[in-house]
Amino acid sequence: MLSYAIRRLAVAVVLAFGVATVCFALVWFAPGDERSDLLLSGRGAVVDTGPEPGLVEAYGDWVGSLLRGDLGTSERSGNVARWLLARLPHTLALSVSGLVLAVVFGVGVGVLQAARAGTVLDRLLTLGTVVAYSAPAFWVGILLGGAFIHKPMELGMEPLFPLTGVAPPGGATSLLDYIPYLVLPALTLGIVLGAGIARYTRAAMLEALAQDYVRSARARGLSEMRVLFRHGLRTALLPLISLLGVYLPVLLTGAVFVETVFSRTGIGLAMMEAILGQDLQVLMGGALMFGFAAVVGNLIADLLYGWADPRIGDAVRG
Amino acid sequence: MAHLRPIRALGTGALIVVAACGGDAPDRPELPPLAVSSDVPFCQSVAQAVNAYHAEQSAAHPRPADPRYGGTVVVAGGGDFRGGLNALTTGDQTDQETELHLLHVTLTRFAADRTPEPYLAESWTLEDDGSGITFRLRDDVMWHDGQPVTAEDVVFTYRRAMDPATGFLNVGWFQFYDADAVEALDDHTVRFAFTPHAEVMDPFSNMAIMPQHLLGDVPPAEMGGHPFGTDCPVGAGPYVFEAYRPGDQWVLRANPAFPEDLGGRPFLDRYVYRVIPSSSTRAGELAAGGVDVALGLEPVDAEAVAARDGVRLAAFDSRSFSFIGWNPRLPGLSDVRVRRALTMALDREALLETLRGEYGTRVETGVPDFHWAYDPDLQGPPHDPEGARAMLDEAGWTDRDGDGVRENQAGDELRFDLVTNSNTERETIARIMADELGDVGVAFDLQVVDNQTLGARLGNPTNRDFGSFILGFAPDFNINERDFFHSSSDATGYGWSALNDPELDRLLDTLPRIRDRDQARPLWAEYQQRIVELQPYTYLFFSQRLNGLNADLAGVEMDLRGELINVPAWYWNPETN
Amino acid sequence: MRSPLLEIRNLGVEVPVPGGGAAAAVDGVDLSVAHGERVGLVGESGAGKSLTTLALPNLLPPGVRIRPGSSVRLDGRELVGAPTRDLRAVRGKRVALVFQDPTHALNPALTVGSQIREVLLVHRGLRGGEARAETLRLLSEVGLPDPARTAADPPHRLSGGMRQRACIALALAGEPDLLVADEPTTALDVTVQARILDLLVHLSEARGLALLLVSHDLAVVSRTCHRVAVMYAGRVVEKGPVKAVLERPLHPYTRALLAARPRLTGPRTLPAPIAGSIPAPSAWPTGCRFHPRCPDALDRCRREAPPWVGLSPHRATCWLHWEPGGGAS
Repeated sequence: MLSYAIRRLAVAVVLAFGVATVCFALVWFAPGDERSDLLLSGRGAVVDTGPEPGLVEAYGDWVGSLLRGDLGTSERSGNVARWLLARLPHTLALSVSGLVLAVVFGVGVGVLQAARAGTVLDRLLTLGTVVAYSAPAFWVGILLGGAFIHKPMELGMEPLFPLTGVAPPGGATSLLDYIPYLVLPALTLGIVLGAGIARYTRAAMLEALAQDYVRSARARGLSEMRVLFRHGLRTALLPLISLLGVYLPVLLTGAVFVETVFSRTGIGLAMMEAILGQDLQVLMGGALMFGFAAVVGNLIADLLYGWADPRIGDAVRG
Repeated sequence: MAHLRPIRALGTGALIVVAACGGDAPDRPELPPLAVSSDVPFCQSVAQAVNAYHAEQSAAHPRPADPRYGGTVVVAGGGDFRGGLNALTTGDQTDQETELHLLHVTLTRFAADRTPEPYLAESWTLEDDGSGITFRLRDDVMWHDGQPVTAEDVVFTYRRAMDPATGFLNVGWFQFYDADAVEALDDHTVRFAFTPHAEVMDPFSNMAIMPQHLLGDVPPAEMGGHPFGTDCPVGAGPYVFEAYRPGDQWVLRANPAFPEDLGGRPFLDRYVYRVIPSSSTRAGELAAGGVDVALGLEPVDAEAVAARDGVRLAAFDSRSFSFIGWNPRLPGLSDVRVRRALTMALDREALLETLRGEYGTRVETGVPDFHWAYDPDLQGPPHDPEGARAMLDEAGWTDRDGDGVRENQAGDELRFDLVTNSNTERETIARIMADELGDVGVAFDLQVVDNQTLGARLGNPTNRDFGSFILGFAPDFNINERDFFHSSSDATGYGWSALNDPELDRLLDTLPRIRDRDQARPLWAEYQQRIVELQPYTYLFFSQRLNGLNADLAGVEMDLRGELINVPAWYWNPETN
Repeated sequence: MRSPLLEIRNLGVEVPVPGGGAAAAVDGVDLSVAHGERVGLVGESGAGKSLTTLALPNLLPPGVRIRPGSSVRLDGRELVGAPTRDLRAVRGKRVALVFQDPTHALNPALTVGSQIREVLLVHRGLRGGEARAETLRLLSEVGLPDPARTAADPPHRLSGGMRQRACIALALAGEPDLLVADEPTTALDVTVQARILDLLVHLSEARGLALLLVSHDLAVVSRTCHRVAVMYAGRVVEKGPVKAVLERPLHPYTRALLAARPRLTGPRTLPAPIAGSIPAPSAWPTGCRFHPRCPDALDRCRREAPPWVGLSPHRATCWLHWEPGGGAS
């Protein structure tokens, strides 16, 4: 297991390096004169004139500053690393809670559908998940806003949750203050991502339930709950772990839209602003962060998978 | 039955619940002591001094028993104040108003009739020949760190603003000022010297005074990115800076030490400005109670607000007009016939109706109909697509290769970049333009960027490669378009449309020097006529500003002067709360 | 005499037919198994053997159902139509199943031990150390050399034979009265096959466990079972004591099966394959269902279903042995 972990880690490092290099190349080979300023600003100051360094030298400088955690300086946003890191907690909170909700929704609905395959309930849920799966995150967000804020108000009640922002006006006094602001965005993300997970879970469960060992488990007189969850779901969910690794970038891009809808000052919104503001430094920093997040997510998924499924551990050991 | 409102549990929400339950006088909790903090070295000592002075003054001036005092107001606008609240470096409408009316003070301020009234200056004397003015300053206005505001601060502010190295955008105000125009006669007396000119009082209500004791050592060129603006802006106005969360919110605190004569301590303990880029989200948050004031709504959202209980719409004339700017440096657009044809091809009446409905007025120049210099007889180019086609033919632009886009003899297409910021209204204008001007054979490549980038792109004198742009602009009451249209402005920040027209130059040179309005009016009519002939812009409309307000928020005045002019007098209505 | 442990009467199993409708893949099977008795059920694939075994505790796949009028009694208690809860108390606890493919019968994501302990908990309420000890005992009972290690292993680390032994241990965990083994050795090496069969016989004798052994191979049945029933196209065509059936097969199908069997001993003759295969349930022939493949078919075989002939307990359904006025008893 340890050598497996080390090997995966090595692959992740190479991948991260690749991601960074692709980011560099995109900017270096992009047309326009932005690039030299942008890549050289990694040194801490925007270079105005002087001889342009060659590709190799610029790349070396850039990787060097990257290793020091320096993402350069943007005229618009200042120190890019600082600018993005200040937003990271909000995006992380949203992504993690959205992911948890997505898994709970998705797996719950998927298992229910598989257990009731072919019934009207199954078909209704299939319709629902297809709609939610193809729905843009902002649309789901607006619907939720209507359901939890505007509808209750029309009925004379107070809104159930705050609509936008990350903390109460004037600032949070404790971590708990952030939670109400997380509810609608996380629900939005959870529903959109959960729909995909539900569709996957339903299919995987149906496949798992058709396996011999599920029939064997039934033949042993185990209760349907045990059969569904211990024997069916457990094996059906193993691939979900790696699916979640793949989902991580989807989760983050989902966060871009959700943060925009709910005016949450996270990395996603910062990148959205950076696009409109032609703030290449921030855009590149954000892309790097998302790329690294994807690599780390896949690494975690790989390790979890190896830990959860004994076959993988053995396969790589053998 | 009252539910706790989670959104405002920290601020006004709690008191609303109490009041709604019992009908007692509102019991608004005192806020914790001001705690400005920063990890920037410059700001650490500043923050300490501000916190200490605020604590001392809060103790010395406890909140009056008047039930109008206390509470928080949350104001939502579309953009962040990226440059911070340093009046020497910023130019956006809402942050300018925040500087002028909340954080900082000005020498004078506009009364309701738009005449100047005393503010930091308790009196002034304009010299008879119009070549100078002397202000007598109050001695009871303090910086938020406890230092007195003196004549030195005024001198510092105006000198920095006039210094080209600072890059102050409205440097045009000082066109007639002498090189060493401003001097302190004593601690509380300042004299400005200038060549006699029109509307001399105008800058004094528009230039916020900045603290010389904090910024005196900052080189003018470094003013822009200085942390003072974002991490620890110190003013002398009725509100004190508390916190800034980039991209999210600015938090200001009532200044307990603000002089009684100038309104004293503001009613509201806390003023929060939140950044919510989308108009419909601002309106939604207003309806949901998450914000109390939603600034700059689009008409469709404004109508939704107007139809709702518990909120109200404040619609008022603003000084802001929308236009399509043409870059006369480019071939094609250098020809006045082409510019005129572009205006004629566009159905501006229908555009106004589509975009603003009743909340706007057509214009033909930057002189609005509420301005004294406005010429009511002015006629702009008519909507006449046929005429436009003929005019383009005559200018030598015809569709030679049959692809629907006109070319000149050299085969260059009549095709331009069209730059605008991300904003539903402007993007709609762009689409309609592409459609209607496409009909007469003119093509556009649309580029949508954000506010700041648009400003930077247009304002860069060294690289004016754009063909056209859609922009809004809010002129001062003292209209002076020299920065835009005078040939000498060609290489300056606002000189995106410099026309190099001797006739217009003459008017721009003359008008600001005429101190008598009656004498100036005929020339103003001539000026407006000349603008219509030259069509530097295709003028679209003056917009009404549409702000949504919580119906319980009382004392709010919003008009041509601005929307934050009397924030210190806003209060939560004790009757309904 | 005690009533039989398992008594199947007129069992029919209907499978959906492509294009709608249903066909009886098992069509009127009668079969009984006494306490401690070992019975073989033999036939080619498609004969309906597996469906018969799955029908016992009703583990039929979705869409497949037991025909009304069928009866399956366990110690006299009717299982057809019994509530699922009662069936669950039977499954694993009274009747345990061992399937053909041990690789897929075990959950790949759980260790062998945890799967056994699960049964111990559900059927015998054993947990903790007790359950662990019983697990090891069961694993050693089925002849696994290193029970502690095997218990901790996931299934994929075991060889095929070991897996089947683990499956048998799992089946024994509920202390059943009847073990139904559906082709338990088909997926295994020839050498391993014999050992598994010996284990089954040994367990049956040591525990007084009844065994219903399903196989396509008469040789397998002959070395393990007391009685045998031969199925063809959803019906039992011949049944009787193993020795009698093997030595004097009555039905041409049984004879063909015997001829098709590869001989390991004696003179090497080429197996005589049975031409053709069992048709689908929806296309079963009229009369004797074997007649299209029967070398001796009479005209009558095509028209009328054959009666039971022969002397009890060795009987078959075949017109060839029918003597009007006699034979049937």
